[in-house]
Amino acid sequence: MQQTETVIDLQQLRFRWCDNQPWTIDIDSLQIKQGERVFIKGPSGSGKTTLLNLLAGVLTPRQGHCRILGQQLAQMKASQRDAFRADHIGFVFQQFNLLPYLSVIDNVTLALQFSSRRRDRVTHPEQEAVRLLDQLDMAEPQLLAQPVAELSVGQQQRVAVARALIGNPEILIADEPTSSLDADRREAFISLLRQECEQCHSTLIFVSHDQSLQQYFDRSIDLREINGAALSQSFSEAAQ
Amino acid sequence: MAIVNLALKSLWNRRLTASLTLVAISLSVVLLLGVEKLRNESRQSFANTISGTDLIVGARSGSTQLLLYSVFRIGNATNNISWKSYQELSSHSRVKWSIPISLGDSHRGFRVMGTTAGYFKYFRYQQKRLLSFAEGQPFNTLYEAVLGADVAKELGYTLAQNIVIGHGAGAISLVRHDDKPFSVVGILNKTGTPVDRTIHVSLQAIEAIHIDWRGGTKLPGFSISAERAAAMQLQPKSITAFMLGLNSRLSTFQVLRQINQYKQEPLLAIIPGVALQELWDMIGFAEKALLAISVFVVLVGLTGMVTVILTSLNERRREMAILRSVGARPVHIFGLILGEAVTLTLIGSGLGLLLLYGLMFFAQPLIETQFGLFINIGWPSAHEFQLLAAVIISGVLVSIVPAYRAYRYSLADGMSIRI
Ligand SMILES: Nc1ncnc2c1ncn2[C@@H]1O[C@H](COP(=O)(O)OP(=O)(O)OP(=O)(O)O)[C@@H](O)[C@H]1O
Ligand SMILES: [Mg+2]
Repeated sequence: MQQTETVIDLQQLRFRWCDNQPWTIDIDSLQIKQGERVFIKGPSGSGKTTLLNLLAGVLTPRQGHCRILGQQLAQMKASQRDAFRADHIGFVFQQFNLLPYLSVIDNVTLALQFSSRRRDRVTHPEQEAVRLLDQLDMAEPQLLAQPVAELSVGQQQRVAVARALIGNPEILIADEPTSSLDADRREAFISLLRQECEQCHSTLIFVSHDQSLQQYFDRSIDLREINGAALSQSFSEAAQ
Repeated sequence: MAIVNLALKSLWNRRLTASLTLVAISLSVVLLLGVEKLRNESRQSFANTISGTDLIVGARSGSTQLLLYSVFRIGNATNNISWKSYQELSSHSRVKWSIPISLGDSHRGFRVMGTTAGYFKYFRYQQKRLLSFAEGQPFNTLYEAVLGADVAKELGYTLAQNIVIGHGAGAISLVRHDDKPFSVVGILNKTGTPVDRTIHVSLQAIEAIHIDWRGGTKLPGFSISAERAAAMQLQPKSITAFMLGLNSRLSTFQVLRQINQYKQEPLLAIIPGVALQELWDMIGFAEKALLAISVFVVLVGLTGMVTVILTSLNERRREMAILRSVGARPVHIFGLILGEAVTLTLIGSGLGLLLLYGLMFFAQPLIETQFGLFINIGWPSAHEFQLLAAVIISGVLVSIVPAYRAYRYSLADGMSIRI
């Protein structure tokens, strides 16, 4: 892949949850290049999670194009989109990222279960999981043996990062992964995330309503500026 | 497959509620299959009580009543049949054999039946099996008795034991024929029919013990010793009922009509198979109700399972969003929930089956001694497997409800984590 290749390309993208409602997402154009570390900010309810769902192919746009890694998601069948997500995208949620009934290692290798492509890239899933966890400072034997529900929130988030990275997906999407961490840990977590993405040459899309985090990223996008829907909404709110 | 593995681990994680669900399902399966088993065995043993007898004849009353006292030794005859009528009818040209029976006395709760040696030759049960002796032989002289298997076992009697017959049918006889004791000369093999609980003596013996009795009480100041009675060449004056075997089954209805229209005395003849069926239809109602109840209990068990899964779904929406984020398809989520329910139903049914057989193993001797019902512990019958399959299929069908709901959730929520 060339350094300049466009990984995400949105054109006239429009989405709403229900008919007869204003658009939740209305983006004229947005491109993200391979290897970029992008920060997307926006207040609560501005459609950040909705946008990520569109990027990950869980939702399909009502109008416009959503091209990921050169593929038109809208033209795929639902099952193909699910497979595409499994193959190419790692996901980190705000919190509660782990399945309580799986061990730390199994939570990491879970990402391989639904993707033969990522499975094929990893010869020894458990070793690879431990290697990633080790980079994230999470490979202590007693930590690995602990039930995931007993890990601290920060530790759980690091396990989630390991899961998102295993098998080298091209894109890593994080939806407010630091909102339940305190300021010090937040900084450490983000630099860890950056570092890992750099090593794997993954594109990082990091979403948060916390403006102060944008300093850690190459590029910062304000959803309110690119999302026409939010604009018209805030206008109408202001008018009232 | 990955999703099956996940379903099992997820289930194990909720093993307390899961095991309670299993208890409910397996107990309901035990009830359903147990009731079915009991139904079959009792119907079987009921139909097996008499076989090869073409007609049973008694004084005119209800056919059920006649069947009950002549075959099951339950209740009493309202009237007797005269010896003369019996002799006349049993020498009918179409009659091959006859067994007279005379009831009314008992010994420690077991009915005493007067009959002839022909009883051991002609009476058949359970697909034409003849009675056979575990020990000894049929009665030959006057004060000899042949015991059914249960009588000997429960009272601990052996051959040559002396027994005194009580007057009347109660468990504790206030008046007893203690001047004329009997000696046990034979013990029958177990049949699983009321024969096991009967003491057999000759008709003459019944006559002899009542020789100094009139109208149910002993004549005061009048007694005839056992030896004198034996020397008197007694002939019975009346009997309670008799069984007939005909030369050809084709003449059954003809003989039946002739007996029912018998001029000298009001008599009733019944075909045992028909009367048994009528009686079974009557009491079978309860048994069908029992089956219906157990079917409902199974439905309650399965509904409980669905309720548990449905209530867990809300907490598990997060789990589903995580699975969706790593590429699980909505059908995977559907399969996850369905697989869980199916696993519970399968394990529950299996446990139920095991529990039932364990229970039967322990309860079998108890049921046999208490109710005279022999439960055959064989492999589950095809019918039982059908019932089990019905339970499992119902389990799968009702599980579609939570599975479909989870499917809808996962489509609607996508990867937004809702708590
Ligand atoms: N599953 C859904 N069904 C219907 N409407 C939804 C759904 N999810 C979100 N919405 C609506 O879409 C809009 C944007 O929600 P979204 O979750 O994308 O916001 P957000 O920017 O992620 O907010 P937050 O910072 O609180 O997570 C909201 O008005 C919300 O009500
Ligand atoms: Mg959100």
